Formats: sequence, C-alpha cells, structure tokens
Amino acid sequence: MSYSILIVDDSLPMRSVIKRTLNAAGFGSSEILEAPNGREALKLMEGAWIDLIMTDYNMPEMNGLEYIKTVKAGEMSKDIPVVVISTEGNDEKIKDFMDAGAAGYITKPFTAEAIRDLVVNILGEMDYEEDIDDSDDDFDF
Amino acid sequence: MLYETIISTTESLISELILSDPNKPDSLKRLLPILKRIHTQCTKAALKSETKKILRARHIIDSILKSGPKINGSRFSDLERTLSDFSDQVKRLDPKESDRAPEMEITKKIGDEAQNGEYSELKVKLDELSILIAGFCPGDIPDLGLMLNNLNDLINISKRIDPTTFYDISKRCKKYVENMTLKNLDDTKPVEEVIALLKSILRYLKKGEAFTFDYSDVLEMLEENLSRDIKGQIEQAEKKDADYNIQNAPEKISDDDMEILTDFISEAEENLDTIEVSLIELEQDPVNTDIINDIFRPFHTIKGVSGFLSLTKINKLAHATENLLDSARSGDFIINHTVTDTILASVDTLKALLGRVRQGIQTGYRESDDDIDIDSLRSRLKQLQISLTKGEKEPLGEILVRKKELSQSDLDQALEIQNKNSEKKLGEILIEEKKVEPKQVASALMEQSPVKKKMDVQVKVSTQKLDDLVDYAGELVIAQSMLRQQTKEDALVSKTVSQLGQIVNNMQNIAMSMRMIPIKATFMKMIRLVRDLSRKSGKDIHLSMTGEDTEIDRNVVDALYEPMVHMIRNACDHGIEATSERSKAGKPAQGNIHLRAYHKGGNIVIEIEDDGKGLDKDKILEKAKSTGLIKGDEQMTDTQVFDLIMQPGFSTAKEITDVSGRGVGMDVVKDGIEKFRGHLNIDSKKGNGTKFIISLPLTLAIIDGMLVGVDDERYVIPTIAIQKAFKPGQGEYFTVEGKGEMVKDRGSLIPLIRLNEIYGTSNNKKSIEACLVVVVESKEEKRAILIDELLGKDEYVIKSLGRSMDDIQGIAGGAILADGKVGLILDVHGIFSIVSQK
Repeated sequence: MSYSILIVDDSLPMRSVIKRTLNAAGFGSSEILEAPNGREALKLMEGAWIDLIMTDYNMPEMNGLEYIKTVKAGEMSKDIPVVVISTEGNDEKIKDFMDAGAAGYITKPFTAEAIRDLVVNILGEMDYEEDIDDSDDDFDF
Repeated sequence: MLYETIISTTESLISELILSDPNKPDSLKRLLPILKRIHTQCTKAALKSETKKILRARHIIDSILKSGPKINGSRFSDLERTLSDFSDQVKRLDPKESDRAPEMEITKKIGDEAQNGEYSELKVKLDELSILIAGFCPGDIPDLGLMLNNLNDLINISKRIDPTTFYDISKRCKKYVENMTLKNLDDTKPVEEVIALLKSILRYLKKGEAFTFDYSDVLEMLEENLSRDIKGQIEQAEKKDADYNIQNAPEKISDDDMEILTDFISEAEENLDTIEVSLIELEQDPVNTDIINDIFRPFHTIKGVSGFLSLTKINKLAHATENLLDSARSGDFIINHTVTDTILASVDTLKALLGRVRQGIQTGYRESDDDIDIDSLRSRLKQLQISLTKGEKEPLGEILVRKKELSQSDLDQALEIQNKNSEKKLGEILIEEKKVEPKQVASALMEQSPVKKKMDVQVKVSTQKLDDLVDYAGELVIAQSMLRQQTKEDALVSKTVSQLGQIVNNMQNIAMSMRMIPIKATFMKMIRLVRDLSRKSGKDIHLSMTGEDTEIDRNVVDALYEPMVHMIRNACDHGIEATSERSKAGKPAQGNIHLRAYHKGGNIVIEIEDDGKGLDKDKILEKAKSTGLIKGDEQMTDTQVFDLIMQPGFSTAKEITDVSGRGVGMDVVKDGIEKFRGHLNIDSKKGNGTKFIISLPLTLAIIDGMLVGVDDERYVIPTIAIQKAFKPGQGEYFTVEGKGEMVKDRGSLIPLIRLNEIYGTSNNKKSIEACLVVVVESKEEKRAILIDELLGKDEYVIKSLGRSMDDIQGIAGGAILADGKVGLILDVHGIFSIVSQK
C-alpha cells in the first residue's frame, strides 16, 4: 500500500519511532512527510498531496487540537483524515479530538498492529496502488 | 520528457473521467490514483499552479464521495471543468521546456522499456511471495518449495539490474528460506521484512531514483536467524525472559535504535536544560500555566519516546514527574519550593540516566543503570502529588524516616510511648527521647502541610450586574418579610414563608459574597508606595502585613484606597523618625509599618500601625486652643484629643508638620471613611508609635438594624451601634446644668437625645417614664435615644435618599419596611455631631 502520510510531532525520535512502526505495519513504501508542530505542518501541506495526517497533541507553537481544527476548517484540507497519537488518554480529551473532526485515536505507546488496523480502517477503501502500477505500465514510458 | 509524461497521464485521466458516472462513487475513486500520479509528476516538474489544480480536483471528488448524489450534478460539472482546464493548461506546456524544468531529486534517468518489463515481473513475483508468506504454516514444506521457486525467479530477473541491491537481498533471503526448510525454522518475520524492503527498492527503481536507505537491520535479521540452530532459539527465548528481569548481559543496540537513541538523547538533554530556566520563571509566577506547560512538555516527550526504546527507568521517572506537573497544570495546587526542588532532582537523575544511554551508544551495548536509584524520587513525586492535591497528610514519623533523620525502630518505639500516653504528640516524644532535633520536627511539619491554595474556575462578571443582583436580592428580602407580616395568621402558609425566608437569606449571602474580594490587592499597592517613600525620604522603612486575605466588599475597597495612601504617606513622612533619631531613642534602625485586616462583628477592621514617634498630646491641645477648636479647660479623653487632628479647622499641612508630625488632610480622610459608614480611630503613645484603626461595614448594601417608633415616625438604628435598651425607672432621669437631659444607667450618666427635636417632627415632649431608651455608642461616646417602642430587628437594604437629600446629617439612608413604607436609617455618629453642635 502506498500513501502519503504526514507525521506531526515535536520530537524527532518520536517521528522516527512512528515511521518505523508504519514500516513494520506494512506501509513501508508510503511517502512520509514530517513536521515538528501544527504551524509547520500547515505550511508543508500547502500544495502537497496528503492521504493521512498523524499528529501528536502536546506540541509548542500550535498543539494538535488547534491543528486539527485548522485542518478541518480549511476548504481544501477538510477531507484529509487526521489520526491523533497521544498519551492524553482521558475520555474528555479524546472527545475533544473527535469533536474537532479527528478520524482516529491511538495512545502511546502503540503497536504496529494498532497502527495498521487504524490506517487500513481509514484508508483501506482508497487502496489504489494497483491502479497506479497500471497507469505506470500504460502511460509512463 | 517529463511534460510528455504529464500530458499522456492527463489524457488517460480525461478518458477515465468520460467513463465515470457521478452517481457511482467507485468510478470516481478510480480517478484518484491517476490524479495522485499527475500530482507527483507536476511537483517534480515544479508546476505550481498545475499542482494546485490537481488538488482542487481531488477536493471536489472527496466532497462528492462524502455527500450523497443529490448535489453531485453541479459538483461533477465543476470537476469536469477543472480537469478540462487542467488538460488545456498541460497541453500548452512546451515539451522542449521540460528538459530545462527543474527536476527534483532525480538521480537517474528513467530506465528503458526492457527494464520496465522486468520491474513489472518482479512486482508480480513479489506479490506472489507475499501471499505465500501470509498463508505459510510452520513446517509446510511444499509452501517453502514454492517460496524458493519464487525467490529463484526474483534472483534471475533481477540479475541484470544495476545496482545489484535487489539481487543481493533476494539471494540472501533465498538462503534463509533454504535454512527454514533444513532446520525447521518457522520465523517468517525476516522474509516479510525482506519483501517490504524489496517492494520499496522496486518503487525507487521504477522512479529511477537511487535507493539510499539503510537496510542493514533486515540483513542482520536474516544472518542472525541463519547462525542459530533450534537449540539456540530456545535458549534465546529463555534469555529474553531473564533479560527482562535482571539484564545481566549487555544488550546490543541495533543500528536502527542507535539512530533514534542519538536523536533522543540530544533532544532530551536540550529540553532538560530549558526546564531549569522555566522553573525559576515559575517561582515568580507560580500559576502561569504557559510556563508549567513548557516544563511539562519535555517530560511528556521523554516519557513517550523512552517507552518505545525500552528505557524503563527514564520512562518511569519522566512519567512520575509528568503526573505531578499535570496536576499543577490543571490547577490542583500551586507549585511551591518543595515541588520545584523535587522537579530539579528529577531533572538531574534523568540527566544521569541519559548519560548512561550516551555511553551505551559509544560502546554499542546498552549500559547498565542499576546503580541509579529512581524509586525514592518517584515515591517523593507521588507523595507530593497526593499531599498537595488531596490535602492528605503524610504521617510525621514517616516523613522523618524518609528523610533518614529517624530510624524505623526509633519511630516504632516512640509510637509505643504515644500509645500509652495518647495526649502527647509524636513530635514532642521524639524530641524528649532525643531522637531528633526540634528543628527537624519543625521542618517535617512544614513538609507535612505545605501551603495549599485552591484555584477555582472563575468567570468575569461586570460589577454592575453584581450590584443589580445584590439589589434584587435585597428587594427579595423585603418582599419576603412583607409576606411574612401578611401571613402571620396562617400557620401553614407562614411555615412555607419561613422556608422561603431561609432560601432568600442564603441567596442574599451568596450574592453578597460574590462582591467580596480579598484586600490583598490594596495592601500590595502599599508595598510599592512605602518603597518609593522610604527611598525619597532616605529612611529605611519596612512594610509588613497580616490578614491580607480578609475579604471585603468591592465598593468598600475603593473607599479604602485613598485614605490608606494618605495615612501611609503620613506615617512615612512624619511618623517614622530619621534613622539617627531612632537609634538615639533605642529603636531598631529600620522603621516598621504594619498593615492588619480582620473581621470584627459586621465590620472589617484595617489597622495601620507604625513604630514612629507617636502623637504629642500637649502639642495638639496647644494647637487646638490657638485655632479656637477648644477652650482649653475641657476634660478630654485621649481619643477625643487625637480626634482633634481630624477636625476640619485643625490645621493645614505645613503647620501640622511642625506641631505633631501628622495631619495632612486628616479631615479629608475621616470624611472619606465616614461616607462609607466607617469609623476612624487613633491610638497613639508618644515615642512608641501610632495606630490608625479604620472600621468599615462589610457591605454597603445591607444593614442589620433595630426598627423603633418615635411618634408616627419609624427609624432604623444600626444594631452595631446599639448597646442596650431599657425602660428608665423613677430617679433615673436628670437634667444637668449645661449638659441637658441625662439618664442614669448603672451609675453612669448618659446624655439623652430626643429624635423629634433633632428632626423637628413634633414638639411633643414626652415624659421619660412612658418611653424606652436605646443606648447607642459611637467612638467610645454613649448617648441614649428616647423612643416610644421597639418594633423588631431585621436586615434592611439601604436605599439612597436621592441626590437632593444626600447631605442630611444623621441619616444614613432609607429602607423599605415590611409594610412597604419608608423608614429612615439613623447615622448614630451624625446624630452625635448634631447634638454636640447645639
């Protein structure tokens, strides 16, 4: 499966961990974009094709919740599914995320299975890798 | 070349679009992958506006897919328009330009057709292999055979591809699968990893880009499993369990972990350094959630990442610290020194632990951190969190034991003594037994009950609304008491009414309390004032305060500010002597002004006390005589003498400075306070200092009063001024020459006041035997007011009489009585002034 996934987290090693987990969950061939906080992520999203956003909650500059709200308020970005990866495990906070339009929620620490289940659940229907390969064969060369 | 690709992909997109049906979401979905393909190509060719168009098209498809077929029609035509625009735009691109177009990250030109065919074949084979692995059951030899065939194919096809990465990895993988067959291994994970790796390499080959990623971990996995036989495998499983508990043998750090660990350490250390700065900031501003959040975040991040890297100790310690900070962040308590110290200790320990990890990176093996103890720190953090949030106290003995100032056996001994003699406190016993120093007990007691402040969630409300609320609550009280009057006869209704009365009272109390604010803010302003004044005058003056949390009506606070500034200025300028003078008098060089606030009765009392030179009674009397305020032969109490300085005609600023060192506009101060139904008293001793005592009603809106009848009039006398009421008997009435009518109360003579004479309501001079007298007091002076009857005690809402009757002396305001009529509220002090003027 090949997707463009944007990881938003202020910690570089945490982003690496998420990438590694995505790899282990079978999304190794996906294109991964990274941003250290909500504000940077919004800049990066300008003109980029993104299938899924995975964001942390507690970040400087712009936290995860504000970021989701901004993404969901953007005309062009409101349809991009956002998954929250956070340790903020209380129901109220999760409800806040869901109210803001998050498509899923994973608590840290997470397993590769949890990531796979969630991502497949959200993007599963959009599995168009085969189509891309077909188009490669037909038109690329 | 690139543009041609874009154009051809766009053509296929358009033909797909023609075939698609807006009412069939699946047919639209087929467009998405093509769109993405074009998007990638356009990004590569740096075609910005085209890229945006594609995203726009995707957005339209997304919204059609989301919201049913109803409004699809227009959206779909929107999509068609966007894409045909795009197609036109693309067609206009000059193919020759494409070579000059900036190409991003292209390291190798796209391969020839032969190679392209190979890639497709490899893809097919890889997919087959995935399916085989997914369906593989341990020991299934035929499946393993199929896998080997498949791998052989992969090796054959990839032989001709340059670079040889794909080929090499396939070969190694084949070796592993062979071993699986021979040695009956059933771990397919390495193969799965290899497939994922090969797939991504293939993608890069197709794109014509170099595959630069580090895949040594996958190879290692293959090698590792190869070199191990079945027995070794079991041993390893056992060792893993053992490792979990003891971690004896140093664990090797994998390359993958190595990179993340390096990043983790440098990030964590950087973050921990900023915490120290933030903690100092926080001490200045302990409730600033932004700063708390700045401190919280690094611990949070460290906790999160360390969990994945199996850095158990770091994880646990960061978690405990984070929990404590989280409580502080949500306002459960205010961070104090103990908390700050503990957090700093946690930072130090984390740094030590991180140091070990850094050493580990250098050696390549995980370094042991068994000698670094985190458990005591963790329990301290936990303890702090519990004691600060819930107010639960940790037993004194346990604190001492924890601080290693007392041994457990000594504690047990002391507890036994306490059991026999239950009246003694543990601390006393311990000191008596010489187990601990009194100082240690004291510090343990401090730790036991740290200053706890609760932060409530607050709402800002305009004072106008609050005033209205208080006003209506007051009206409600009146209406309720009217109702009570009218329903006195009916027992059943009257019961309900008294119930209502209670609710109304509660409501009124709450409404009143809403306007109450601590006097602290006003006191704080004085600190600044004293500092400025002491610098200006060259005197060393210290301001201390007690009771700054005492609450007072918001409106009264405003009334207090000006007078306080006046009096503090006086104390600094004239009260406190110059340093040389002070040392001559044997006083400490530093002058002291003390502010005190407390509740007394229904009043708030503010005291301003200085240890300066005090008021000079003789000089005041002398001055008063010279200005004609007194004749000079009066017998005057100290209070009356001091009151002289608050007389309007007493002096102007210049003169007073010479006479008594007091009095800049003291009459103004007094007026200001009395306007709010307050009193100003002065207490002073020459050489020892002066104390100003301001007492103000807690609230200005309601007064607790006694309703009395005089002729047809009814008056409310503030209960606070009333000392007693009695019916004078025979021989308790005198007329004293020069002083007027007097009543005798237990041997002392009290001047009598007839309200009808003061207010001129009637000339009816009643016989005293037929009446009652109410003894009222103001400023240590007593007067007896003659009344016809006592009608009851109640709370009255004070209503202003309006601007035209604002300055009537002796009347504080009006109150609506239970029958709806108006009664006048007496200002006792004002009445005294009227009488003394006569």
